[in-house]
Amino acid sequence: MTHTVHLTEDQLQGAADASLDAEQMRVAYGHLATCESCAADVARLRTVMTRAREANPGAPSLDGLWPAIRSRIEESKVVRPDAFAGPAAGARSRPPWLAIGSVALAATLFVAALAQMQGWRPRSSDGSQPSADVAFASAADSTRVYEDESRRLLNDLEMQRAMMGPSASASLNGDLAIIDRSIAEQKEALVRDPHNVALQRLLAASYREKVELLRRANNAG
Amino acid sequence: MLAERRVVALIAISALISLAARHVNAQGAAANEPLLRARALRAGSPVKMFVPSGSVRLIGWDRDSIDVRGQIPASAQLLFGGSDSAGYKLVVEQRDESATKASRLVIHMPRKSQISIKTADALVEVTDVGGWFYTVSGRIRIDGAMASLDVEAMSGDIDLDATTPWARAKTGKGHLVVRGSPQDVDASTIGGTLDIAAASIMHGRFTSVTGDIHYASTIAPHALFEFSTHSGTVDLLLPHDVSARLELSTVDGEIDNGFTQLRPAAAGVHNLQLSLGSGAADVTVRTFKGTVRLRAR
Repeated sequence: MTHTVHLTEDQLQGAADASLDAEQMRVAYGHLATCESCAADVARLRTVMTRAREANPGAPSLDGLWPAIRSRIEESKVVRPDAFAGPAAGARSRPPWLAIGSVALAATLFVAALAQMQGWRPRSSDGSQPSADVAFASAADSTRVYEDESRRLLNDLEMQRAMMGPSASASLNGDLAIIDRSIAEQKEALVRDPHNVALQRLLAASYREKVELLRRANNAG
Repeated sequence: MLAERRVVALIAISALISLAARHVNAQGAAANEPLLRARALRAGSPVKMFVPSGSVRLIGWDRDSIDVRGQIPASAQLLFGGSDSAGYKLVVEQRDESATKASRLVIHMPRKSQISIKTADALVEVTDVGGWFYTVSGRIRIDGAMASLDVEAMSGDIDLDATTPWARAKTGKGHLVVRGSPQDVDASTIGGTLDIAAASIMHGRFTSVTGDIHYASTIAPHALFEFSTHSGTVDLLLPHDVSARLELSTVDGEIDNGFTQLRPAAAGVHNLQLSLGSGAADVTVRTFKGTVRLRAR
């Protein structure tokens, strides 16, 4: 159907991130059900938002990084971060090690922030992978993020199912059944072997596939 | 040996089919279909399309215009609107409630146009334009060069034979082929077979749920590959002189190592670490119960 009036940017954004209140949501979805242009815009916004989240779903916040950074600085014995907490008065002429320490701290923070932004983690000097615990926690975090996202997309999809053609609907149902079976098998295996990192990563990958499928299905209406 | 031949044969057959189809379509494009619309269009402008059924041939060219040729069934109409700078929207719409009939369109547009096309079951063939391509059960074939590709199908086949820095392709039970010279590839199927034969990939993520994954090519130095499947077979057919570190693991499947002349760095019933050559690239394979096959050619 061709519309002359479309949703505003705020409404599009709100529909994409589900931040509208119930009444606004009802109005927005009523419009989206008949306006292909706005529905496509919302789908695109969701893709952008999800991609941004996917860029590093399991990354700790910068706050979470601080204790590790602090401990590394203390271990290096270049300068204790406590020195920065002391009174500034009387420190008119700063000793040179303080300047070196400041630069080291700034550089460490910069590298940590850069690593977080790019989802990059340097290899340890012997080339080994991060510890199994960290890898497992990261995979488990990814699983949770994808699981939550798939639940949200399933809810959204309920409103669009009626508009979906029989071919798309059959394809969706078949593929969802395949993915759900694989998720069930992986979860069952995780109960038997709860610390298996590879298994946790496979589960995250299965949920990711489910999210991708539901996003595709949202476009099929 | 039989598996190797099957992989090579599969890729060769899909390449032949693709070439034949391209030849036929190129002839069609040159056959001067009736002109439906022609407008000026600035390079880089978006072009949105909805063509439910039939075939669409999209070709990037070096002119600053869009040229739409072909045939629309009598029961449908072509809606076309927009502007030179804002781009255009093209929709094939049924006039009545009857079943959608097939259209046949050949569309030329500036190479840097940003396509956004959606079909139900149409065949879409693309040369030298990038963007977003979506179908429910149709087929999508893409070749040439473009800035990026985002291709999605619910159940249709996808054939990428393009030169692009970034490609993402997803289908359900369709057959997905990745060839050409892409650099960063994220490709996945659910039940469909995923065939990869591109030596240019620097970062590849290949996933399926139950579909088999076949990789038959060399691996670029410093490339980073991740293969993951629940129950499909992951078949890696690599040159005997490939340089890569491989980390293969399966929860409940089998690992079949064809590089038997090398001593693995670590090996168990369900995992294998192997360094081939100087180990310049990193390859990780994970399956739940699918077989991992490593073959030398």
